[in-house]
Amino acid sequence: MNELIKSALIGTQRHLPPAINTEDPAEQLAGLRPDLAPEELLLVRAGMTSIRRVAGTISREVPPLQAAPPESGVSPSVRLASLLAQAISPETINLLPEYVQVLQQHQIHFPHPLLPTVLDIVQPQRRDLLRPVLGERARWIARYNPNWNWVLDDSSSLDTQLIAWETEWNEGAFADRMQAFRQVRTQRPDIARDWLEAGFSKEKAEHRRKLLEVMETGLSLADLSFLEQQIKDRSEGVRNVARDLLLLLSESSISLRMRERASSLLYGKHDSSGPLQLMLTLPAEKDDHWEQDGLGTESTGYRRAAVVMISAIPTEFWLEQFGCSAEEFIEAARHGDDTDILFEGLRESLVRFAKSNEQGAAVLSAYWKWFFTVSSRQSWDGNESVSTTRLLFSMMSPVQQDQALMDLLKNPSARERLPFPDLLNQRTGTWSIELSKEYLKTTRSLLKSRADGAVYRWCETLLPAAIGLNLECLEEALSAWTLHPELVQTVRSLRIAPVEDHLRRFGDVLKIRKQFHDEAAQCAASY
Amino acid sequence: MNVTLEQIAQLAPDEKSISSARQLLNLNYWSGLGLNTEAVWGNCQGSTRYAVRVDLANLGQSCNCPSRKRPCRHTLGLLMLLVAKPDALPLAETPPEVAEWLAKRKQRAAKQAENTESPKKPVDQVARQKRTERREGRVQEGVNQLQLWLCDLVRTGLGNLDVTRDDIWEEQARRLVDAQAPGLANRVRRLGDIPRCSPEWPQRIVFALGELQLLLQAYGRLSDLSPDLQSEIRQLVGWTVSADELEETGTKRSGYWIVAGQSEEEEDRFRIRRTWLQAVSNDKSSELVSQGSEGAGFRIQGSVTPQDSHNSLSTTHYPLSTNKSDFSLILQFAPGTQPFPQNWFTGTMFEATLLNYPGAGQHRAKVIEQSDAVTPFQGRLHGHDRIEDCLQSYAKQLAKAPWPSVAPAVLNSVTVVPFDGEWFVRDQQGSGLPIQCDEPWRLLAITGGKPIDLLGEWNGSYLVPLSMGIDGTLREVS
Repeated sequence: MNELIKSALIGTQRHLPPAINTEDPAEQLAGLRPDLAPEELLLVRAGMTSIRRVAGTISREVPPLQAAPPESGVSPSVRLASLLAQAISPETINLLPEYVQVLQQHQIHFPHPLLPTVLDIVQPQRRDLLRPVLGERARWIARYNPNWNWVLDDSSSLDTQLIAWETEWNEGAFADRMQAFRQVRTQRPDIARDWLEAGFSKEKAEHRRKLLEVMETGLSLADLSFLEQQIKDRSEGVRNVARDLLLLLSESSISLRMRERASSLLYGKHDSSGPLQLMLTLPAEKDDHWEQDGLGTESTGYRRAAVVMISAIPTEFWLEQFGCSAEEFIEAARHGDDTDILFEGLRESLVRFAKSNEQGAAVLSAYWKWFFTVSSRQSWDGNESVSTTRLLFSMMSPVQQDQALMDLLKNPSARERLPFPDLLNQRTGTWSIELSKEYLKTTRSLLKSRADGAVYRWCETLLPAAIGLNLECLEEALSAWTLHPELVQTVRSLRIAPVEDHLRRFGDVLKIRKQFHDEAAQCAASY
Repeated sequence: MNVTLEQIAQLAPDEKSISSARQLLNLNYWSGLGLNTEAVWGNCQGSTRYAVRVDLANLGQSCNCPSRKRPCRHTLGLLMLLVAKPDALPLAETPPEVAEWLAKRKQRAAKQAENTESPKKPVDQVARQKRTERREGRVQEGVNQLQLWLCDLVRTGLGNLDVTRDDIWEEQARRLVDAQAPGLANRVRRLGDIPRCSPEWPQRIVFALGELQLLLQAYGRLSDLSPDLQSEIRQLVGWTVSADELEETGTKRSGYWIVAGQSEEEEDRFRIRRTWLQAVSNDKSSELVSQGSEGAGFRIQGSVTPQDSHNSLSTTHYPLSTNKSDFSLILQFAPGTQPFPQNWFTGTMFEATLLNYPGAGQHRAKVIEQSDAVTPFQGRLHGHDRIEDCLQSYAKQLAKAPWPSVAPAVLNSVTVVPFDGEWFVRDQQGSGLPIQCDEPWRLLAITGGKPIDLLGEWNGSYLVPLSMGIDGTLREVS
């Protein structure tokens, strides 16, 4: 440490400042002030050193950066960028799919100033959505930020990233290891499995369970052998996860066993006069793998074993087994003896195979129709109707969701009891014209005829609706709204305007969407 | 006055105000809208109806809403409406209440101008001298006390300042405020930020105290120094330059000024805005020409003869400096979230007469006359091609007044480069200067590694980018 600074820090009373360096011109100047107290002189010398250091700042040699290649797409206007910036806010992020589609349609690349914001997005679906419109600049800038590697498709950057993830995996805290494992499982499932195999048994039970859960990403036949070993793990939690994963692989021994059991589990009873009925028969004796396959013990009983068996079988199995359509199958299940068990098992099966089984869509539709009828009969009462609606809705395709929403909109009890804002938020992308019209009709009628709490609750649907409504219905949506007289009166007396505020925001978002479409078309036209 | 949405965003006190104002672009909120050459007005429906007006001569605003934030969202919304949906604002006669408001504003401005221009009451020189002597006495007492305190600190050692109670700085600063030396008080207050701020804090505090000591030494022998340096040092200690004094000793300069960049910081419940104006160059290789009619943008062109340029100019042409560091600084202060009295926008240009404050740096100035026409600036800022030259220029400035402060620096044709975990601007020779800004990745995304002109504030350690010249236009960095 510089002696001068040392003296200042220790104190001049304990450590005298160094003598003036008479060869230094600046120090010589200080030497011309013998009248100053030692502390003043020390500070003058420190001040001079400081100024000399600042004045003597030199630049640093910095290597050049290769400039970004030109964009091949159409450049967005400042206005388009500004409209897009509004969509990236959390409130209206659901507009992103539509906006990206518009950009893609007109071959417009993403505005450069917004790149850092979107490159920070972590949700895989949003990343997949954005990738085609990001443009050359995004790929260029991503090379300089390891967190944005997902934009690059070259294997060299992935290799570099893999090295970093492996270091995390080997040396990081558990949360960091999980993160690295998750990333690798997404990019290179085989490598991730190798990592896991190398030291799986040495991990804590809780960690083993969590790591195994991640294997659902990129699950394939290659994982079969490793998972078959884990079905015998000492921890029940790990065994359960391994079993759930193996059930998703139709070639696994547990899947084969479950199918074998299922073939004799249900049989169709045909009365000459009545409809087909599904009857349930559990095997008389438990086989060797009964408990290992999660079919329960004596205490869990017959009911649970049946549900587990049905839930382990993809729904299309039954359609093949009985040679019927989805509607006929659901109809038959309704008329059987054990309807509750059957539907609970079917619901769990739909959830389990939702990602891997496209053919389940037909059963899901038929299931929804049955559930809608039953719930409507019970006026959508109870928490179960809400939770099952959410569950079924989350598995539906956009077309199915539109149909389900149309059904629900027409049902007053469902409108009042179900969490419509949540359901509408789940429906990403643009709605069908039919749903848009039905929504507008319902909402207009409600605001005109009622002035109670239901109206205020319903107003929460206006923002998701503004994001989803089909722009073909724009004119209809923006035409004047008639409010119930009492609603207007309340607003005036309390000097609050929640309904108007919601309606204004609704109109604004719709207009911004329209402006975005128009502006994008204009950008493309003037290119 | 032509404004853009970006400029309106610059006016806003915070991000939330911008998004709230954006919602008011819906015409359903508005009634009684109107526009003419003097003002724009309208009634905005909030929880009640608010009367909103904007004086277009200087963007002076009025809104009777209770918001503490100024400009409020209604004013910003009206301005956004003016830019985004001008057709929605019908040209109209000024309504009586708006006319009255404008008249009052004009009256006030005229009164201020009159106060400035009209011969003032003869100053009682004896009384003034007495007042000055009295203050000098108090400041000197404060300086003496500060000197004693500094000596005590150094005698006992600075090493344990990181564990001493934090209020020692504030206590000393308050004494200096009482001694009417607010400049010294602010310096002492800022010293309190150094202990514990980084591992190098011990060295930093010794150097900072050293710079303060140099100021005290200089103040002690003021009469030996040049008038400019005397003025500089007095301002650093906290003496303000009165209007009379500025009139007497300031330097008047007329011409075209580019709003090159702005920065804002908070200090002691006040917001301080620095607006850097660069004089438009008048050298032969870059003549100022107008683009046709009045109000159109200006552009620096390469091969226009002075004769041609005179023919095409619609306004008077003033001789201006070609000095690369020819900047003037407009300092504005606003309490809390209150708006600044006047607004200038980065990337615009106007004709004005400035009065430069006396002092060795001679950056600070006051606008005493400004034309109504504000036009977008198209062209390049005058600056340094080499970072070394820029640093040398700063060193020369330090040689004149050795108290480091922020200085404007324009670097031409530099690239933004992330290197070794830091951010730099790099000149064509490969020299780099560290930069610090909130969104360096955004800066890199916009520039794409291509050369830009960058204006920043250099503080001796790093450059804070304020504006960049890209594709012929000058825009804010943030």
